[in-house]
Amino acid sequence: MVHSESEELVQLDTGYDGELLLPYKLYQDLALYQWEYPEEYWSVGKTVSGEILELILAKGQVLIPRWNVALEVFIETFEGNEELLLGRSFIRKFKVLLDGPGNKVCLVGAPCGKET
Amino acid sequence: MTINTKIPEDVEARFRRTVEQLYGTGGTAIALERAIELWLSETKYEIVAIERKLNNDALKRLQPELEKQQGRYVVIAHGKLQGVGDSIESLRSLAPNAHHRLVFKVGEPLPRKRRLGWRVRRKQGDPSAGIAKTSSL
Repeated sequence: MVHSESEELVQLDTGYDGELLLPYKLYQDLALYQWEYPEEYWSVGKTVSGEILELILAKGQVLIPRWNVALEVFIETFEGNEELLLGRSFIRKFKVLLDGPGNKVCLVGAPCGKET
Repeated sequence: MTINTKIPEDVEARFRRTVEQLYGTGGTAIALERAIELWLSETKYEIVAIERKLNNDALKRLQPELEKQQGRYVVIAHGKLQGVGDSIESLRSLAPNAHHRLVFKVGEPLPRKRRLGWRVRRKQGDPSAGIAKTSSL
């Protein structure tokens, strides 16, 4: 998919019911532990294979450059995670078009070709 | 900075030999500076873990005080309540030297369970990942 270097393509996983899951290393590199929610607010996540994982929680902003929009979101991670995913709670804020032939997901209202 | 300390003789011999090979005479300071930088980067997240525990322990003590701040954002750092505000943005500048901060809206209802979808799995060979404290939740 075509996108500028200042943008990051993020996979949408409708099986994940949170907002944004970050790789653990990225969570550390962004120093999101300085915006962390208390442990008593952390969720327990269950994978499709039944693994139980404790999810570290912080609040941050997602920027959508082409819309010039900043969204406040809950960010989750766990030790060892390497996935970067948007989940159902994130897309609940938008109308979303699944463009099968175009092999992309469009946030409705965005210019054509806006992938998430 | 002047440091006087004793290290094991075999370590000192290997250190001097390697410094000589890499940097020649006078390379000790370069090697020590690199060693200190490496140590600081390696221990960075140990400090975060220590402060995370300190701040979460402080939260338990602060609960009665925080009951009066329902719906407002608070910052806990260095084991103390640093401030209260109506937006997360208004708390940005508090405790700038802290390695770890708790920043949250008091009493915010959040889900306790998550489905993680098809892609997420524990990294192979990483037994430390994840579950450590779930029994307490």
